[in-house]
Amino acid sequence: MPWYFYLAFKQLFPSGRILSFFTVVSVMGVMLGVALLLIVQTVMNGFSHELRSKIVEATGHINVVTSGMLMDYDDLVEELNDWPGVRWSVPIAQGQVLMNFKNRPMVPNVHAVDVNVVEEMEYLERFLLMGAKSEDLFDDSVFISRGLARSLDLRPGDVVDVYSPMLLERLERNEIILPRELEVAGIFSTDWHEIDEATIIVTLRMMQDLYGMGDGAHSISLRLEDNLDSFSVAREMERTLFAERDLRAVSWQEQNESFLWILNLEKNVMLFLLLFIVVVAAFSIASSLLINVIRKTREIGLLGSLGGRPWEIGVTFCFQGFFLGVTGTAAGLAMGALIITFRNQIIGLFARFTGAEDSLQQYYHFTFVPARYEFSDFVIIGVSAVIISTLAGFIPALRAARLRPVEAFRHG
Amino acid sequence: MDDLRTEKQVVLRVEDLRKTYPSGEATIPVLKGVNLIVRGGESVSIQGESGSGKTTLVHLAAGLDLADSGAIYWEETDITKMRKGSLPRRRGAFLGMVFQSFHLAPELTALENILLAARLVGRSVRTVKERAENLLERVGLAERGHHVPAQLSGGEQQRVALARALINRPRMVLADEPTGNLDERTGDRILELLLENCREEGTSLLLVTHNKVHAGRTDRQLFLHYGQMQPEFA
Ligand SMILES: Nc1ncnc2c1ncn2[C@@H]1O[C@H](COP(=O)(O)OP(=O)(O)OP(=O)(O)O)[C@@H](O)[C@H]1O
Ligand SMILES: [Mg+2]
Repeated sequence: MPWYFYLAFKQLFPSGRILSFFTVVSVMGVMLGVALLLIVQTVMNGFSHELRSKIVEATGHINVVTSGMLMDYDDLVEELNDWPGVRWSVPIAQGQVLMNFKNRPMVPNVHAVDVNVVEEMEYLERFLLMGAKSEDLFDDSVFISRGLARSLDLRPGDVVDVYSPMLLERLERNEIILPRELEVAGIFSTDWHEIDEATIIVTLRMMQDLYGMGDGAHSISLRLEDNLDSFSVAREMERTLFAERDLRAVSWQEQNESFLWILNLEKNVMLFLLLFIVVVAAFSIASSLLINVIRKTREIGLLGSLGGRPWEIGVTFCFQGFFLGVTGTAAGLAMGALIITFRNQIIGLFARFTGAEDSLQQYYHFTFVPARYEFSDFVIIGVSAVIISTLAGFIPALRAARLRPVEAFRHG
Repeated sequence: MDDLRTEKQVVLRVEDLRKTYPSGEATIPVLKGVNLIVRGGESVSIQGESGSGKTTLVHLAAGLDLADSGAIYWEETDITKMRKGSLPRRRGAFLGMVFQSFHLAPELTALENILLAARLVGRSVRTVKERAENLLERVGLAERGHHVPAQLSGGEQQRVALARALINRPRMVLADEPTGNLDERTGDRILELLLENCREEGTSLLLVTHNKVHAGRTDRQLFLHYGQMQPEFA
């Protein structure tokens, strides 16, 4: 081992002492910063993954649209069902309606499905509360989202009045307009806030009637096999199946582009901000090493007179920053992973001590914290922490390397 | 004519060495053309009043500082003309240095401090371990090898520093007031060790000292006076 590595190790782990205070404190600084970074990034991945799967659950993987209304779509549905990776496809329509219950009007989003697609109806059932059945949805009934039900105090069996915007046209022609009276057949919850807030589900036939769509639909929603990349499937469809046709396949990623972009931005901003904890830890390494260099002025001068070259003396200190960085990072990644593994126990314990169990459940709608490791996080966090710590050793190293033995002896 | 008197090889030759230090606007001439020769196995002492430039001369002779003019030969090599990058290693192998302060690394044991000097010139510890232990024994610290400097007295630390200066079998030892910080008896002990090494290993010694008795024990006594070397006189 070259002498400068040897001496660097000895300064970190001096002979005759069990542990050096400087080493322990420096490693802990980096470790805490790295652990926190990993925990935050991993939990954010978890939440983001939850959100993404909620979006997919609620909206499907791909929407096939055309310019204008989709008419005579039966053949297209067949074609799409035969496409590799497609589990089922369902014609849908979406819009807004005016809903009135006991003189309290609301303007919910309306989602219409073709009740003949059995798979879709079975799928819908998972969102229904209180044991409602998806086959209870008839042309004169409606499923209501939990938020809407709560604000209008609706219960299954209640009857609501629904007006379509198209009725306005008829109003202009002085026709008498009557609302559709629909019976609440079930209440659903997707855990996807935007949908749960104010959405109703009706049959496609009712929607066609309300919106005057004839036999048309707005789009065809596709569900794919798991582990398929919706975006590339959509591109492939457009390239082959939809070539020469006025059809487009829009993946859920494209549909929610800005939302996904914000999720990603959030994560990167957190990474950037929390990286400053590591920077602060690095500053403490830098200042400790700098104090060391100044305190050891004479000994450093002596190293020069004993045959040490300036750059070797510099490496002695730079290496300490590097070593503290590597050790702190490794310890931090391990500690972070440990905390993530036991995160739910830790939060449970915390909640029990503060008596916050109920409010966690009530306001945050979670009983467990999601987490999802991403290899790139480990690489990015690890590499940046090591680089920052090494840079921290650089300034003291420069000072030590510039020190001339003669001056060192005279000043000391 | 010096050369004719003895066939022994010249280890250090200093020729017309000049050094001035800047002092504000003016400059202070410290060395005004110093000449000096040290031969193999010879011990030479330099005395002189405080501020006469003894330490400056030692630093220049060791190649730790740059002279204004003049030449310094380590055996045949003029180190003032040597490439700067190769000087440290050469110095580590050619010279052993002992100072008034001991400058031991506090995080290393006595033995590790001695071995560090070998590591610094790129020698493997295995080959010098035995010599390091012998040296410790020679300076009377065989039992203290695993103690760190904080556990050693000043005299003991200086003896470790002496062993460190000798580990690479240098051709010459430069000692700048090595006994300055020590009591008389301890100082005498250090001097004995230095002289003993000259006899036994043929190392040359250049000793800067204020102690007339110590100076008297060396082969030749020189005096630095007003920046010039006075020939040997009592
Ligand atoms: N870096 C420097 N800048 C300016 N003047 C210096 C510098 N180094 C030394 N001097 C001056 O050079 C002169 C010689 O100093 P030096 O240390 O060589 O003396 P010395 O003979 O070793 O003295 P002492 O016996 O006290 O150790 C002194 O007057 C000192 O003030
Ligand atoms: Mg001096």
